[in-house]
Amino acid sequence: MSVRRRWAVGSIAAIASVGLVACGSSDKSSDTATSAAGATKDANAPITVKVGLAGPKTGPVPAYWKELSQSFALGEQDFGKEFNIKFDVVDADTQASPEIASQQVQKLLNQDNVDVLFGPALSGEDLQVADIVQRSGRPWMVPIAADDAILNMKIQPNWGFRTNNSNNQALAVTGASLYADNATVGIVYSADAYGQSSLKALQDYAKKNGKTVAASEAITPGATDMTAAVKKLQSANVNSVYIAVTAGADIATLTRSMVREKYDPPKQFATATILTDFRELASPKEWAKIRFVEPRDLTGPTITKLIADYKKLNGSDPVLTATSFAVYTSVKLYAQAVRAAGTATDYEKVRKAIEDTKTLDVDGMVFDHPYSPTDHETYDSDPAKWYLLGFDEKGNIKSFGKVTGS
Amino acid sequence: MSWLVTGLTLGGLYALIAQGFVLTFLTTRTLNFAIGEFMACAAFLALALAAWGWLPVAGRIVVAVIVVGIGGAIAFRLLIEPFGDAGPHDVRWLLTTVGLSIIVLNVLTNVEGATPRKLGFATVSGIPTILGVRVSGQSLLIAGVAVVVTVALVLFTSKTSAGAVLRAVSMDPDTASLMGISPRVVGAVSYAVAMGLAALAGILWSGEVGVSVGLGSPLLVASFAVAIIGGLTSLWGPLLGGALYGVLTQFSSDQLGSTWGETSGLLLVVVVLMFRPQGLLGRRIEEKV
Repeated sequence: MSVRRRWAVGSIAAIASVGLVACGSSDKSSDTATSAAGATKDANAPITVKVGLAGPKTGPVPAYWKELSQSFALGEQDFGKEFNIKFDVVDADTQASPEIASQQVQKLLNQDNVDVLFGPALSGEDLQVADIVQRSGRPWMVPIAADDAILNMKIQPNWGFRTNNSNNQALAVTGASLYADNATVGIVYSADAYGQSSLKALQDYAKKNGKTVAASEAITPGATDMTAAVKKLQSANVNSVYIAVTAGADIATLTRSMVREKYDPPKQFATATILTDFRELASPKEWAKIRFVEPRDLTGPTITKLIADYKKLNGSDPVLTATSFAVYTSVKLYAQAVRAAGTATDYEKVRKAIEDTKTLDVDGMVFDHPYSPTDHETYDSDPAKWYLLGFDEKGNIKSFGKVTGS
Repeated sequence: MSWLVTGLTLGGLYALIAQGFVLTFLTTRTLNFAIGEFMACAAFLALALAAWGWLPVAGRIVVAVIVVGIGGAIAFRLLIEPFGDAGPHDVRWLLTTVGLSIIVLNVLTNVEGATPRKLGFATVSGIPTILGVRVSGQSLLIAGVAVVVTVALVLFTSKTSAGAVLRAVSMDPDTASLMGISPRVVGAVSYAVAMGLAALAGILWSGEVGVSVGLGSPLLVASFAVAIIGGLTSLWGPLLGGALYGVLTQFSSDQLGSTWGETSGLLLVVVVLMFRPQGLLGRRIEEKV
């Protein structure tokens, strides 16, 4: 046999093998589908769900992965039992990079054939994968990322469901406080999707309400010094500053520079991202005036129970309590919908079940009719439902009550 | 004026790390791209040594620096030297050092977790005023250490016989080996000193920003740029490169916005490479054909 013929025979054999493997995969999928269909015959039969869990295990913000995976584990434990669902989890490390996130999500969807995607964690990553997930037609739980553009409701049917608040919602609630007493407002934002989305949200709010943003300073994640940004705020006479920075370590660098420059504006608002590593690196003086708004009372009984359960399972308190609760909520939402649909593999049915959710009760925090085909947000921007939070001397979260009454 | 003072102090941090690049390049023509992870390791080691209350702060720092320095020598012997011994065009060490960086990063993340921690010692809490500008006491300390280290290295190489050995290997390793000098040993010692300096920078910087797995990564690009600007073959180079890079990035941030800071520094690297590829204080290395 000539060399060329051997190559030809080898190639045909290789292609045939790949074909057989592919057929094998498809048979397996059909088996899964068949078994799931069979499961619908018995309303309480166990349902197996293949879950893709994507987040930044490595990179600059692994805290988000920790919270995503450990809070998911808590939800898996609680709601797997409650709804008789077995979660088969496939992890993916997005490395906090949109490009890597895109590769990993495509792998989860196309090779691992997951039934549902939880994550990625960061807005930039989610924006990168949004089209891919929408095209895949599989339920997509967005428990952390807050950029409003991630859920483009013009795309119908829409597969994404957010269980965290969005940037626009946070700004709509914070805006009134930021601009109260004719304050001069400035923003410091991280040069990433989350920060840019927050900047846009603030600019939109200002435009809508006839206000202006006196100074907007972008900071590079991981920057060693932020004196220049602080000086810009100072020279613009900003006395009400909005800090929309993804990593708490960067916020600490910023507040250190503020202390050094003796810049201490009376109003300092941040977002819940401040819970990531900020207090470990800052001093009480730096957080004394910082406030942030949350649609969840992080000092209330629901979150207190979550923290206790989380600690029991994982051995330590969650660092990002708001994120932890949002992930936990997403697991309940999905598990409840799968049980209502009676299957995890009829994606259309699962999506419909989520949209038709009448009540979502997460350990006493109740959401009535939270979704519709055109609204996949769990929260809204009614200030009466939001809480104003800060830190006490020891760095514990302190509630100042509802935003409207504070 | 603020950008000048802040830039100079920040430049000191970059210079101290860049000195690690220069030392290894001088003697082995290799660079350790896992230097950021050596910094993080040193910071975690110092954190662990915090429990040794009986040992003075300086003693804890010295122990951490020595341990990480030895780690540097081992890394050279096992991961760098065997992958660059086939001539000047053998750059497999690039891959092994980047690989080492990824491995150490993952191991540290798994062992130490993602949450940053306060070092709790080796910290200067004051904010002194220089030329009317308030600067971080810690950054000032690091800048001072960078100057002292540079002067000490220059004196060592020019005034001592061991320094002459280092210079001989730097200029012509083949001839030096014919004279009974072992370039391999000199390389290992250089790596030990270089990673020791990185460790010192890591510990002092973690006193300012906390101990975390990603401590060194954000500094890698800036320090490498500083080494290129000053010249990879000059011990004075990092100080000059650090000063220029620090001042330019702070000036750009001040005038154009924070995001332009690092960009302007990297543009400076491009300009230097165009007009003086060996760096501002470096010497041109010529290879016999």
